[in-house]
Amino acid sequence: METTKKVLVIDDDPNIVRIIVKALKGYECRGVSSVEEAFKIVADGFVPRVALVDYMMPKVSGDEFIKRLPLSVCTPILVTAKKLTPEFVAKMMDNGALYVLGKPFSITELRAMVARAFKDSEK
Amino acid sequence: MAKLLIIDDDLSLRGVFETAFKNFEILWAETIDEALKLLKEVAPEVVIIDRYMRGEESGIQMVVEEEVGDAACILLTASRPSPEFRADMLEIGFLYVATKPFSVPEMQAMVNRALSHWRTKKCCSANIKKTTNVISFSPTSLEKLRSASAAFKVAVGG
Repeated sequence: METTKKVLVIDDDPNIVRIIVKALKGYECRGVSSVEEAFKIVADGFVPRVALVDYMMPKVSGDEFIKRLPLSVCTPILVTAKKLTPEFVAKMMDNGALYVLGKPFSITELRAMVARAFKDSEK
Repeated sequence: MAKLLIIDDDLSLRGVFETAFKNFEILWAETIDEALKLLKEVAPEVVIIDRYMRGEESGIQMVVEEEVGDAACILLTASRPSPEFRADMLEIGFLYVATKPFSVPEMQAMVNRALSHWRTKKCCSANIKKTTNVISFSPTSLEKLRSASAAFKVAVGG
């Protein structure tokens, strides 16, 4: 039986990981610096319900990760320092991101997005 | 065909929506009363609600008072929303907040994502009801993510 709310944070900037993990008090959060590490942590048994994924990462982009996520299992939120044009946001949503959050982001908005992503999975 | 209800007294947008959402059955309500009737009779999957109807903030009130059923709701607002306002709207029950004038591709992506989110929610809800009131994480979900990761590794040559 699983009752904790698991969130995975994937960002190659350890400061961002630290900030997000701290902001998401009340959730069981794990932070990793690459997509490869993310899959390792999943294989080890930590299966998140929500994933906060940085867009720009070396080797494998957050976008590539999101495209391969089964959305019925894990809801992705894309976080990016890239300028949020309507075309970019549309493309990321079409790829599966529930939300696209620009850096620097509001902690309040981040928490609301994560809460919303969990809320619907509990109904 | 999925149903998209648009609750807005601005008729100039009608053509835009009808062109952009040909893959949806579009329903239009110019007043809250019309909207409540359609919500009850038709149960749309996605609802776009204008923030101000006839000068009142009734769009938000509909969601606060849970009059939209389990439809995925998008708030349409004319002013650029602050992060705090967007957070408040998500907490109230909206899935997205969109600004007028909106980009058609972005609105299309939002509506399509709202629909897929609605469908996933329905599926999860059905699975949860089969077990207990506590969220249980089935082995099947873990396997799905593991096979996704395995498939991904093969695709990138890892």
